[in-house]
Amino acid sequence: MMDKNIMMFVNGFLIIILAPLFSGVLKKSKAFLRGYKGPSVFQVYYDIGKLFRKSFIKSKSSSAVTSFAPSAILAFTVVTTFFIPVVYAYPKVQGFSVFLVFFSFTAVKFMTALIGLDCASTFGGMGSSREMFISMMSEPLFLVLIMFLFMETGTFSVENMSYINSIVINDFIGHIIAASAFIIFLIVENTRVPVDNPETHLELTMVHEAMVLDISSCDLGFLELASSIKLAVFSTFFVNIFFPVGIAISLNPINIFAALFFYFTKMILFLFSLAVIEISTAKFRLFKVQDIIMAGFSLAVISLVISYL
Amino acid sequence: MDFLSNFFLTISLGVSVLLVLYSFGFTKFFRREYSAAFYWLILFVFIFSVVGIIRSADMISFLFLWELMSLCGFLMLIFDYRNYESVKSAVWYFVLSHISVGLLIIIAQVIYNYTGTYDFSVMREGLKAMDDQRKHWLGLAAFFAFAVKSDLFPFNGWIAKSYSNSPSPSLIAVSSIMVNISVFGFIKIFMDLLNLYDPFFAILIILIGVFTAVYSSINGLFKNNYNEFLGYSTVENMGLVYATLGISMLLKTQNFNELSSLAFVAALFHTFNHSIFKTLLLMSYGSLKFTTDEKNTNRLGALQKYNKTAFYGSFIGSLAMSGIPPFNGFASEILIIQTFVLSIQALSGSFSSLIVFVCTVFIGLTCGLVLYATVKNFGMTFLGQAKDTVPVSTRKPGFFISFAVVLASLLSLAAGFFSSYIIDVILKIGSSVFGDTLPENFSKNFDSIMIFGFFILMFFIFFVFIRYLLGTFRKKEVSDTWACGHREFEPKFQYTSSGYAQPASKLFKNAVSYSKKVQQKKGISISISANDLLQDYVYPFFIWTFGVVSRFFHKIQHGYIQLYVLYFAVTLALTIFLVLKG
Repeated sequence: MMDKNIMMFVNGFLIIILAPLFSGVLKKSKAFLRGYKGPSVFQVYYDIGKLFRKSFIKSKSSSAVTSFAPSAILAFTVVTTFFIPVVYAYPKVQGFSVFLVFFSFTAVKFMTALIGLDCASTFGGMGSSREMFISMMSEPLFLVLIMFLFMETGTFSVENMSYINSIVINDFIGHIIAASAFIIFLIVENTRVPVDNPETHLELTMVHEAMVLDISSCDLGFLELASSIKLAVFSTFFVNIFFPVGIAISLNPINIFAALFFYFTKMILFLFSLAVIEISTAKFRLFKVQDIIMAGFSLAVISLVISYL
Repeated sequence: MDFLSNFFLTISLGVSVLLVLYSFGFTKFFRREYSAAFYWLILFVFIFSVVGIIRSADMISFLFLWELMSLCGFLMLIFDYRNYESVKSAVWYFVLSHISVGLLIIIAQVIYNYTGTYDFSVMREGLKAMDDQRKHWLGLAAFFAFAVKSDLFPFNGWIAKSYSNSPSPSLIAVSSIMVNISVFGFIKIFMDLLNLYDPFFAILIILIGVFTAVYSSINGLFKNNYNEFLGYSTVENMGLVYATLGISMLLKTQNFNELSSLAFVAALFHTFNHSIFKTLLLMSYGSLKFTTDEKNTNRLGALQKYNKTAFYGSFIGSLAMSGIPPFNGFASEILIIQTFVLSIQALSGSFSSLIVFVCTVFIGLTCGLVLYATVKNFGMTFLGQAKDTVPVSTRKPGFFISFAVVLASLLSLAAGFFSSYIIDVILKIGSSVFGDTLPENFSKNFDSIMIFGFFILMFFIFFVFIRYLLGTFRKKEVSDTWACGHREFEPKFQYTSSGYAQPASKLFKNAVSYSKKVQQKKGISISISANDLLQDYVYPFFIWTFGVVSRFFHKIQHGYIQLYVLYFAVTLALTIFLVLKG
């Protein structure tokens, strides 16, 4: 039991420490595909470090929300990492519900949207409204995906899902279709291209960046780290729940190291594919985002229907 | 069924304690204009009638106290009787609640004719022999009687106007106590007394429940008055509770007894949680009465500076309502979703499984809509800067209101943290209702909420500490918000409440008859309207029909004594004729 608890923390801290690196890999892959050198894969660490050294600037209209929400957002994202299997999946765990993980990100969205409204700027309101609109539409998609995973594995526990899928996958076609729906969900939730472009600060394209425009110093560092961790958690969920190849199901050191190797390989491959998706599409305008979410929703329903209904 | 009474008694009395505490503070506010003694009288009669309904053992006392509760509810809603709009909208409540009472009296009479008793326990035994057809008609009437009282679709059109004009203690009584009693009544009459487990009814209840939830959450999103939004939110939660009760009934008809009792527990748990966070929200938003009379979120903003009680209370309430762990809304929300998903699997292959699947998707949409609306209302009311010149007072809500809000906030957090224990208690005591068909160790699934909450708290404190440490070494500056290239920042640069919900109008344009008009006369003026279809189209039709019928009766009621003597004579002649013929 003790080992399992230790593994939970190892899983968690691995994601927290590596999350900025994964964001760096994604940026580097995009640069590589576009044909230029791009920043170092460690650039995100430097950026966060720099933000920690900056002075605080606060808007006159800001309330306690601006002061405490970044810390709360980081706390929510950090805690989700302990609930996600990275290198080791428990065979029998009832507790760590998939809802806890994804509803924590609802908390993150809730707080970020409030930060957007708190400083009274035009952009904050705009980003906040867009974020809520997008998240409202992605909620049914999330539920259908969870339904699929539950029908497939018979459990709501994330660890258990990973364990069961690593042993046997019943319906491979349905599984692949659901995985593609999850990629759309990931893109929508992490506000990546074509839903949002985190690289620009153009008023027409901003969603996430618009909300945090008036945040400074270590608060912004917290938010940057949180968004890296969020991407890492979603990616880890994807590679370890939909494709749990190589994940350790026993606490044997060799298995653990093999699992670590598999995890890195899968993550880098996945981030590279994400980069391919991002550079091959332009950002959609807001009212076209519903089309991509509906496409994801349809895929999720198809996967559920052909496999289990 | 004693368990059920105790459960609802606990909720009702718990909320009543908070309401009484809150009322101590609130009566200070209107003491000069209205009679506080009268208010206390109505409140205590209301609480007495609620307790009486729960403990009643026969139909006569049940009906009498039900009527008493409805009347007290009405009196509380029109307490601010100088406000014409408040009285006008409460009349709708009065009419609808009497339709409910009327239906209940008919049901009681039919059952009495059949069983010859008003005693619940004898009635239950007697009704076992009743034929299905008659039972179904009774069931339909009972469902509508309680649906009217729980404001399910299409009986929720009065909500918006009534909530926007009534004082907050009345809303707490209606929203956190009375609707629960209607759920209690439904369980008692429909599920326990009539024992009507029928797939047709179950699916009807699920569909109406989910439709109510979606309809009211869409309407709530487009409302620019925080009280109206809270009203729609109550209806939305009631929709979810009824839908889950429907699932419980559907599963029981298919002999999935264990799952059925789980769904029943989910519905009760959600009723419990809803009472807590809705009381908290109504108290917090209600205490804004001390700060400003304005409730239009298009004009408000920055109220966090003036009323900290309302700010922190509604922040916690909003978190709970949006289903954010570890607050209490989360636990019951996921229990409901899990029940729906489990029943899709259990009913797999049947048509009802498809219906439940579609309903689950709509519940997902409802969750999204609620989050959107909650953020909009909280943000627009408390954050940013006031978007218009609104007279604001710095008066404090006082000790009792703040104490009640803190107590409700702690309850909300504790009910979320210890949800596994609460589920355990409901399950354990519930064994008297369900027999031995309870899912074992189910509550263990919710243990992780506690661990999760603990971790969140630890990390939050840790990061705040880091922030504090860094803050001591870094320069701190406070400046104006960036004015987007203008010389000076102006509050009108901000997003308005209507603008915030505007993206959603692309999807739900027809559901709320959304219209946006842009006029260019002296400058540009934009007017946006979104209306409740029931309130604007359906109810006026009924009023019109009622008017036509009334006018017909008016024609034969001229007030001449000769005419009435003629009516007597005709009636007498007809009676004699019929008697002689018979």
